[in-house]
Amino acid sequence: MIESHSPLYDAFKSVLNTIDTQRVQELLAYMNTEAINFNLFKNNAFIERKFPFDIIPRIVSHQEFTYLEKGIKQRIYALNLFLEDIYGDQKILKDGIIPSEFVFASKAYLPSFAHTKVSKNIRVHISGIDLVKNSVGDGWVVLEDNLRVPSGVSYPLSLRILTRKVFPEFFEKLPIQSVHDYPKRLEAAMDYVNTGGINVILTPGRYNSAFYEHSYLAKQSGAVLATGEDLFVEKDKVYLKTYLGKKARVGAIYRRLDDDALDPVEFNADSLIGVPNITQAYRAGNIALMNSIGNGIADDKGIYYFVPAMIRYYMNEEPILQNAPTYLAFFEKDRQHILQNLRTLVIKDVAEAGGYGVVFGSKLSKNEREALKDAIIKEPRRFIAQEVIEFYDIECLTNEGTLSPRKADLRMFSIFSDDIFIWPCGLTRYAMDPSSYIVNSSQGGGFKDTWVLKESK
Amino acid sequence: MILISPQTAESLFWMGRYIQRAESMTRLIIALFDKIIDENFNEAKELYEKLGIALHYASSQAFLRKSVFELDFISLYYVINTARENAILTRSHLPNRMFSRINALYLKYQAAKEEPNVSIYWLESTLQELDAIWGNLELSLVEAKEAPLIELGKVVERMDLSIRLFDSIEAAVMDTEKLNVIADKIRPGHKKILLSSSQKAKALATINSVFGALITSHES
Repeated sequence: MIESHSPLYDAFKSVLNTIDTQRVQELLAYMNTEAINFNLFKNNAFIERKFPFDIIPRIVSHQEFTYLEKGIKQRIYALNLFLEDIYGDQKILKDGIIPSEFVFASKAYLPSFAHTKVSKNIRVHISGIDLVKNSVGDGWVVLEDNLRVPSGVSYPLSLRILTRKVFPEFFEKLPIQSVHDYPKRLEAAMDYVNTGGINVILTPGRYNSAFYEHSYLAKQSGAVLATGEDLFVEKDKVYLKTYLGKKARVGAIYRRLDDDALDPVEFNADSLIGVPNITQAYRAGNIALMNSIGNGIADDKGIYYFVPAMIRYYMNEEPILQNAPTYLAFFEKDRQHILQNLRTLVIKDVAEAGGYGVVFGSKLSKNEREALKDAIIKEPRRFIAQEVIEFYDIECLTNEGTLSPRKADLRMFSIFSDDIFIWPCGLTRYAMDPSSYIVNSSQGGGFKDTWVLKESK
Repeated sequence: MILISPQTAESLFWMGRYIQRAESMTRLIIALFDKIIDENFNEAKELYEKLGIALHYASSQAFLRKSVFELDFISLYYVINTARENAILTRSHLPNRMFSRINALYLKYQAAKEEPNVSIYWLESTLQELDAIWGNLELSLVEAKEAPLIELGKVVERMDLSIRLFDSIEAAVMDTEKLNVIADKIRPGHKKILLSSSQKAKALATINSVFGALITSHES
């Protein structure tokens, strides 16, 4: 179902109707030349892949953005307070708002980092909040909070720069907010928490799906792009090796690898992409890691259920943005509901990400449903279930020049420094298959730009 | 202040080498193609033998196909792909246009690989593209620390090829002064590089150890 056309969308369409859409090819050629790729690993093979892009943007009014901005800020504040608390005094557990065993049973909770202070008490420096607009009730619903290493910001940012050049008509005629300052904001956020030294973006390397983004953000923000091999720890301080055999102290690292890979001494000993003993420097307060270690507990799909309660608990406010109706198999009553209504629910494995481990009960065979039921009974902490949300489709321009509706979500990015900045843009991801609800880039989904409009005067 | 890690420095150096190799190979392939047509059919075979490569072709077009796309590790396509891989790794240090040009050249080759014939006119355009890439380097990175690392790769590759392919230690010796100027930009006060004009193997070893001698691995 497509959202009823707003005057803004109509204004966009009226410009679209006056231009030659074949110029989209020019835009795609630009993308190709600039190698704006989101790579995939399929069957253990590295596939350099162009990130499918659709020219028709998601258009967000100023009023709608203001609402989302307020709601996301509230959510990020609460989640940051939760992380400070959970790695601190754990008041939220002591007060019975979240069951302790629910937190402690999660692999994402890292007790060895309890009482580790972080620079400026910020843990959620960069976040990507996934939302959809529900066609029932016409409201925005948060599907996921991504507080570890959310990717995607560079794609709409790069495309915006190209689109302005190829289709200036839109930007001349519509009051579209500028988004170019994101890298400078990122730089400022790194400077804000920096413990003394240079800023670094730590990448897993060339074969990471988002290497383009790492490279792009480093160039634009002035940070040094480094792999684990380029860094070392000496006396609890992190240094970058330089080519003349010298070393440069590092004060902040925007790390684009998971906790598990970050330090082979502390976590996975097989990790070849981490920095040995970096966690020692982190514990000593000598390096700011963006995002902080252990954030996975806050974006665990099970903890998501408690975010509205966190907002009430820490901020004494009612949540502005709604969660999808969610059931926790961990709770007996919810578990029974899930088992009895498996056909109508979406089941999510809390350990998975990127659209993996998401199962629509309606699409399972009888045997598959029974197997899933057994798994839920055996490991209830591992599963959540949600009502299927009939979120709006967005129109996409096909190669034939016709419009085709596709399911689309919106990832909105925030940067937390002296205040929380919500980027007036976002990665709108759409399903390549008209019948699919899975929009994730790692599963072959495409993307659109998100145009937030300026306040009308 | 831009800081460059040893890994990045190495990638910049190899990018320079592979861009230069692409230029040298293109010129060589064009010249050999011309000879094969009606002057000396075996000329390409003999020259590639010097590189330790057994090259068989039944026609001038077959030679083009093999040398541009098919030979393992030495085809022009492989050389350009490797230059591009190093450009991807060092992208955050390169001018946008320089990166785009290298990538565009690779994409052009990727598309042409599917064509049945290799056009010599098309091959000539590679030289123009490579000139433009060097031009981007000179225009945009003239004062940057990255530039001497790329230029070092360029000169080392040229010297290496002069000796390896054309037995011309003299040509390599003529480049020594330039090499020392670049090396001095990378590591001021470095020990001067000297080439003996008679010992080919020693000269090659000296040239190919320059980068390692200038770039120190950090001992933590």
